[in-house]
Amino acid sequence: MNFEKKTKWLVLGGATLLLLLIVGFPLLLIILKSFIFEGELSLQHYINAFVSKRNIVAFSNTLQVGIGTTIFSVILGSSLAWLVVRTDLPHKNIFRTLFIIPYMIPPFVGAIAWSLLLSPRNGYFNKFIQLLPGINESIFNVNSMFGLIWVMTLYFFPFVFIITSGALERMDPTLEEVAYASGAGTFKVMKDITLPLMAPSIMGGALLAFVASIANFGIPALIGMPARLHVLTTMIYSHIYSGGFDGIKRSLSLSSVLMITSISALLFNYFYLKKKAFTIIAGKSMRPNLVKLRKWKTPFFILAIFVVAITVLAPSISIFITSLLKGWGVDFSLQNLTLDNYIYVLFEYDLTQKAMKNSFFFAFSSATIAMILGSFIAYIIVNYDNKFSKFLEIISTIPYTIPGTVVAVAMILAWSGNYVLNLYNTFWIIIVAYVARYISFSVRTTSSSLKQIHHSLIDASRISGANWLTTLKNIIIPLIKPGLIAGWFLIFMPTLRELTMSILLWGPKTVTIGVAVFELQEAGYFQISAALASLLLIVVLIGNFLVRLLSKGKLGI
Amino acid sequence: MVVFKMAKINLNNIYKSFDDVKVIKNISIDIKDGEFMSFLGPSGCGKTTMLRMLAGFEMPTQGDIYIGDNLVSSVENNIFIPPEKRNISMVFQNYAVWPHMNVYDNVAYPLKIQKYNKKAIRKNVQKALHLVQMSDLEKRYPNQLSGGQQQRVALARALILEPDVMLLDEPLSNLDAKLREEMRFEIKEIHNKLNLTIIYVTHDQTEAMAMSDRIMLLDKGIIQQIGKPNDIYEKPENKFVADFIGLVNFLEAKYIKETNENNDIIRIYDGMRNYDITCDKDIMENQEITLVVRPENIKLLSPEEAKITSYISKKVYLGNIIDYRIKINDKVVRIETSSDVQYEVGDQVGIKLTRYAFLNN
Repeated sequence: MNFEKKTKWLVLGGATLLLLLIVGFPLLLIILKSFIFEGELSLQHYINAFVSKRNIVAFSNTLQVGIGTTIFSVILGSSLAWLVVRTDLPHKNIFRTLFIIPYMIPPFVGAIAWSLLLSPRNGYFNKFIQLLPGINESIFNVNSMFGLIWVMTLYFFPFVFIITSGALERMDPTLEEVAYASGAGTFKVMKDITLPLMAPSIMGGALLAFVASIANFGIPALIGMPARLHVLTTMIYSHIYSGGFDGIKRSLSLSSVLMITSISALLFNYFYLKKKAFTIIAGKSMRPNLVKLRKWKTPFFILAIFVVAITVLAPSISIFITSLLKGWGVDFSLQNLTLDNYIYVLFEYDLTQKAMKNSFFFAFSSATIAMILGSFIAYIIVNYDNKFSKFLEIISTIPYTIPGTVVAVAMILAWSGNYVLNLYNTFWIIIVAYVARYISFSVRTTSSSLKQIHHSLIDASRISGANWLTTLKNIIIPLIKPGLIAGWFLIFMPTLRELTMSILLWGPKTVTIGVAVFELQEAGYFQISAALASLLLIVVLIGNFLVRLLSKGKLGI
Repeated sequence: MVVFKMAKINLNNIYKSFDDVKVIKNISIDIKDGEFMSFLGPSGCGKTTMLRMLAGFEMPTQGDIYIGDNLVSSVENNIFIPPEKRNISMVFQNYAVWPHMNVYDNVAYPLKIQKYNKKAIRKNVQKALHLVQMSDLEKRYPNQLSGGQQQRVALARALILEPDVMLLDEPLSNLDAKLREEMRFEIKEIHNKLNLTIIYVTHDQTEAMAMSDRIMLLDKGIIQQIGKPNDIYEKPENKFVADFIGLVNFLEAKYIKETNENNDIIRIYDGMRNYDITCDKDIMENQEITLVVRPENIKLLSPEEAKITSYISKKVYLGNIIDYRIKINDKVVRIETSSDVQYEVGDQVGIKLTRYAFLNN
């Protein structure tokens, strides 16, 4: 082999090995370890897990939260999708963007906002309602199953909304026109044609909402835990926090259960729904028939504004106002407002300063590493069409499809000194976890850009005398550059606000923004955590806006 | 860098399979220095695979390839020179002009790879762009160019290193008809001016006829015929060749050896009578033969003047020519005449074969 070929194999082989090491190995380990009890192959971990009453309650709570959230998300998401795509609702394009905003807000920030609004003690909304005659106590208690499902629905309904509105848009309008021509009225067409055709897409969105809600940590931790309402993710968290390595052992089987539940939901989606959905929906954009709302126009318009107020405005305002308060529980009069909390968070408090510095560093490094590694994996996937490249593709997708809590437990198992490397309590374990979880973003954006390069563009460079490396540098990389930049932001943004994995992996020197917000909230420093959360919210929303601008609306988080 | 003094090309016993599917089956051909050779055939015949093996983008499953006197690919000797070291250039069907570089940078790229200095690059690029008549567009980006202009850029890029061998893979098939004809002449002119060896892949038989010194006609990975354009047209070696190149009528006939005469006889049967045509002695082996007659090589006469008679069953006026159909022994025969030969549907006519070829059945 000549030098150039050697470099090519070294680079691609190295990338493959690294992927297997940081993704494949920890995941394999967590599955294997859950079946090994005191050195022998057994189901003892699972038996122990389901003997504990607390675990059973947590599992049942997880299912309740998941199913409840899914049902409400489907109702809210699909009716809003229909409203903005298929009716003449005024300003529907603006609503379409506004309805997606909850998707960008970090769920734990939403949880904090709703705690502030509906806390049984001092919740803004509860206090406001007591101004009405005849009400003398708090009506709503966010720290309940109702609260959990409420907040999760507000942040996960966009999954159903995005998928359903996309499918509604691509649906062949002639399918409905034929029904109208056969004499069916608007309502009948919706019931007999539109809804059955949309069912697979709605189901697809529902499954995503289900998986997201059972995998979520921030909302149940901030809303459920204060009322001792545990789900699987918070249970794993408290096991690991309570008992060192023993706690990790106890969390193993719970992690497996969590992983199996979400993977089965996604496999069902992949094998069953995909086939159904694609046969009836055309690929290109169509101009759909618009249903005229007539006298219902105003009520629906008010309803849409109400949804925006509940999902976006109320929580943002409650957080911003809290961040400006001099003390918790004081009135909103002008002399009680101050910017001191921001000054404290930004310039004085070493915990928040460290958290911000760390988070930017972690997000920057993991986005960069994930893009480099993922690009080579994408190159293999696009250029070598065989079973091994298919395997690499699946491996790279798994960490994002399973709950972050499970990924974090896998990282602890693999990198806390039992196997050569001890990364525990270092910033490396966080970066490795971020890279593993978000590598699929990089693989996906890069491989879709690579697929758009016609092979003759590369052949033309070779025939011009350039070898593989020169071609990579002069032709391939410049052509996929927009995709690389967009992919980088797609990883940078969610890692900047990451909580679920960080909370299990952080150490004294590696606190992140998410962890700091969480810990400050837990400790009761509401104004300070609100100030930090507000800053995070602003950065995330601006970042999203930039990504959409850069990718001309094609990408967003 | 391997430098080839002579630009002849030899392909010896080439085989190529993709996953057990044999796409090239034992092809050997010698291409002369400075020759314009076309690889012609229907899609899927293996012509592009042949070209890509020559370029070094595919490795033959078996066989040797020589460019000049150098062995560039040999499975037996474990030799495979990558495309960038074969000192050939190539023009692709979809232009393959890099969208992130302007015209100048596209054309200059091979020189930059060879580390030419800036002054030499400028001089050579200007020369190449002048050759393809693109001098005033060097700052443009590909998305600001028409298909024809992009292909000119690709041509200039292929010519910039003054290669001895240029490969063209259906370079004109994405252009509209008029532009295609114009570019055909320009490529031919460049070939004459620079005296390079050109291998031109196409599925368009008129293109191959108009440009080539010789044509290799392929089907299903097998050589059907190699020859000059007029030989392939006038003396096809099998039915596929006759049918692929131009319009053709096949007439079943008998070949009869006449022991006492100076000539042998070809006998056509029209359903009622036999018609004999005399021909040279001992030209065929079999008795059952097929006559290959081009539509323009059949003359329409009055029935009294000719041996074979029939009536006009269809007439299509095409401006410069008239396309007539008649039936001989229930078989439709196509005849093209100039537009001043006027008959109507149903008219009795006689026909005369002015030129024909024949094939053993």
